[in-house]
Amino acid sequence: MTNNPQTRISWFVVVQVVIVAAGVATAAHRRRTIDATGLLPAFRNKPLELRPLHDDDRVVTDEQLSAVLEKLKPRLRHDNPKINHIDHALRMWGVDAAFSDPECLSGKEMRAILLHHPVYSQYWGDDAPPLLISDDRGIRVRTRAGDASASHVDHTLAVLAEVGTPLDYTIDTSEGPATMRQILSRSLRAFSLNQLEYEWSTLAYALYLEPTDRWTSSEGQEITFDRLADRIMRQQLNQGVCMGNHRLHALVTLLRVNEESPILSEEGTQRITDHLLDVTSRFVASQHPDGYWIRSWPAGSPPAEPQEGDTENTLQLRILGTGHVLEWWALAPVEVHPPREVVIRAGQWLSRTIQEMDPDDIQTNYTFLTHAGRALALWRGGFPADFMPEALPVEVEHRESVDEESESSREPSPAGE
Amino acid sequence: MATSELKPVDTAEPVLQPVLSERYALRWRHVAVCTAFALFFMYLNYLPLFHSDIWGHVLYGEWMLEHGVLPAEDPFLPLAEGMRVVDNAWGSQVFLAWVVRQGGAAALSNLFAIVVLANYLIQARVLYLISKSLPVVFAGLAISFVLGFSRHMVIRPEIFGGLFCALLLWMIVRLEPWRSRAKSFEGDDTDIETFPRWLWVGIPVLFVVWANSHGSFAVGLVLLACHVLGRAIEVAWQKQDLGAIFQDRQFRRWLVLTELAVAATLLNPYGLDLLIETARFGQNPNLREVIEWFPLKLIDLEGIQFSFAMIILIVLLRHSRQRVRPAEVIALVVFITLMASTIRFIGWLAPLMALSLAPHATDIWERIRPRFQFPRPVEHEPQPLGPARFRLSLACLLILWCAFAASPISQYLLGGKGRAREQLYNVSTPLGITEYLRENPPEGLIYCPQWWGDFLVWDTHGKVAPFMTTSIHLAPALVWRDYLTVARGQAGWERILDRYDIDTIVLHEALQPQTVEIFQQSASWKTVFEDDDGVVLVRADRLPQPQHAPTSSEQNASTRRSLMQPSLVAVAAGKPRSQHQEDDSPHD
Repeated sequence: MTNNPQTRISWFVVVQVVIVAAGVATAAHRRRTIDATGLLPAFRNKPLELRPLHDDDRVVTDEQLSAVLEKLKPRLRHDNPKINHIDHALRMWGVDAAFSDPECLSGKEMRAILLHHPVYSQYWGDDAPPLLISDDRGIRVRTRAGDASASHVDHTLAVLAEVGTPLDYTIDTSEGPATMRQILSRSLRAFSLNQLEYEWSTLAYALYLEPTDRWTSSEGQEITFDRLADRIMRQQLNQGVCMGNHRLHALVTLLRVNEESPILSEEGTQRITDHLLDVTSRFVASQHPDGYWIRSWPAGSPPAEPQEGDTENTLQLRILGTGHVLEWWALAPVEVHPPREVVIRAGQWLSRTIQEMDPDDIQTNYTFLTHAGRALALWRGGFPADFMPEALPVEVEHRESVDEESESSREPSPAGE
Repeated sequence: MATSELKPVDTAEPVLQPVLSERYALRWRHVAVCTAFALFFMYLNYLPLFHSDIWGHVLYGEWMLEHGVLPAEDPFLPLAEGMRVVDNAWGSQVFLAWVVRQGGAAALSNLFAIVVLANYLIQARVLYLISKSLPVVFAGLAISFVLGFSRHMVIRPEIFGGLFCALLLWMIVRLEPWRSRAKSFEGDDTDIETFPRWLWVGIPVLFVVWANSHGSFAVGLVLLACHVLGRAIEVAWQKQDLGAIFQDRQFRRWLVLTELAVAATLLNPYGLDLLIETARFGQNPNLREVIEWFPLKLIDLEGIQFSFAMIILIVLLRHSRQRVRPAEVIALVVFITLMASTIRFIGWLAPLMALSLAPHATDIWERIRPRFQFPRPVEHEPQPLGPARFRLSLACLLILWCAFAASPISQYLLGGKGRAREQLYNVSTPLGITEYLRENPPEGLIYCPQWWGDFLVWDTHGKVAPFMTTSIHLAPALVWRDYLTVARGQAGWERILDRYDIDTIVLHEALQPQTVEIFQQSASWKTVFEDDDGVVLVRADRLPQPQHAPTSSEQNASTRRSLMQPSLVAVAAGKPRSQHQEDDSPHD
């Protein structure tokens, strides 16, 4: 039968079809497998929370802290509140904060402005460009496009992570409902190891990602937390936003998360620790006798007394530098701490300075001051909201009642994906 | 006293009996062939080594020889860490590195000359098998050379791909639709169905070696696939029956040969991934900025070469009586299309074009020869195979020996000094810059033109970490965009250099004159070395204040036009980073 030419040819055809089909299917499967390495890593629905490690009333007393926090309440209930201010205020006060002062926004209101387009529109008007933008990779937060946008790449995402926003939290874009998960996914898909700003991305990933060895960026680059840390440590010390302190804050976050669930190699952990020790020694050497720092801190020598017109040693820069440093030290493992008197000097200078500031100065420097206020609270072992003399639900005006309704109707929300 | 009878002395001259057979008694045309190829070899052997990616391949090869494994990431491009490497040239790279270990950089030049000569010799043989005509062979080689001119001077694993492509052509001309052409010109009526069985082994073995040497093996697979499709169309057209295709023995042979070739390419360290990544290689967005991956423009050199070839093709097809076979048409259309989208394919189109033109050129040549009183060479009356018959054979040997002796490759046998570095490397090779960087190794990443990156690493023995090398496809997309922004001196270059913490920049004077001007006008950067090839600049705020007089060794650090000041020497000599930073002025 097999000698029949027709039969032989039929068998040949069958074999060819099998070979070609198997080859094409195998190649397609393998290609999908290769591309699957670019899939997103596993997420935690509830981000990790990093609690402060110290309580030292020499840094700031109860009275000083109360006075400082009173001055830094989020008095943002007005039209067109800067998103940058909302971000920072939410980060300082957390989602559960509420104030009797009618000028103040509650934590839930602030989060609603960031994550619910209808609420955002109530404050910014219908003509304002939306803060949340859907694209083919997910949902992004409009960034560096004026007052109605976030100030830095993934800043809002990091804030939402730090205040504990779960990934299944339902959000509203101008095009419809979605979830926080889509913002994080979009950030990961767009992330490049060499992008201009990466500090807040790193922080958000550290808090939201399950302990994972590695994942692949959309550029095809394998990303690890070690690699992120090396990237952070690559640049000159005082380069980057807020004199480079956000990079240091991100490194501290990596160390702290690593203590709970290992995400760094031993070598990576050691490199970060060495780096922070070097940084701390420079801060110690460059502290002004009054207790503050300015931009020249990496030089390792205290700043000279400011001259007339000195733009490098202004009050604004002193608050910026000092508040940020105290903040990441408060969260850092004790082995990278400076001598405590350095912290006390800085804390006392900060609390004195803030208490002396008038409301206009507070408003002008609000973003920097939120770091300072949060730092002082952290050095007393809690978050700012923990030290509020008032934690009362407040009488709400129309917009707030809408917000609350919106919130109550959405939390807890089912997973959107 | 005894007497002896004298024997008669044979006074006739002794007759030398040749040991060699008639086939070794060469003729004038063989002298011409020998002369042509001897001169070609000399030309190839004197070509200087290009400053581009060859050094990256050698570095990869040395790395593999040293570590005994394939690299998972690019070992020489720090910013590509974490980018997966599927090294489809690993075999060539190891071989190139081994060659360099044996004979230094000059050995690369010799290897190049040998491989390219072998390529053209095989192409000559292919054309001769088709045409049996030396004029057609040389015309075909000329077309192949001219069309592929922009590719042939580049020394890289692609030269092995070219050689394997020629070998593939040499194998497939033994099959239809080529074999019947050769038979017709030969006047041979033997069965064209005869199939050289060794091809069942030869083609797969070729593809195993090819796939482990260079990504161009995909070109070979495409060429085979064109023949499968061509034969299918031919049979279906002739029989007006699709079912007849599988009944055609030639079609089945082409199909199975192609499948065997594909299967053979899987025998590599990456398995199927090699095929997938090779197929996707051209889709890498970074390559859109690389000249050899540009689409064809008729006003460019490749466009002119291509137009020239097309005119010849049209003229030959107009006057040829040879039938055009579907496989030829498909192969030409596919390769021209590939070349139109990516000009580097012109290197693969060139030998195919020569092969496709050969039957038609032969047909026309055979018809016009009598008009120009070019009688077909006839074998002379057999003459006694005496010493005189080998004069031209000896002349050929002499020509080959002279070419060998006059070429750099003879150094190994005849001794003598090798070529000076200035002769061995091409004119744009930054020899002065690497000398400077060897003596003043920079810290951290240095920014440099990608085409110099590999050489800087190689010639400084790894003392520099380049921002970019010719491994462009491995660079993350953002890194590549940042590289281009700085290379073009576009707005934002300062922030990019800050972001990557780059303190040292190397620029190419001839190719980046505007960028050189921008940097030299910037107060933030100071020129520490400059010669005819390029400049080295260092951040001004990384330079410590002058503290000491230059030492004699520092003064003699470069024989070229060094602009180093005493303080600059101290910086370039590589102080610890922390010491530099003490002099930092903040720039946020």
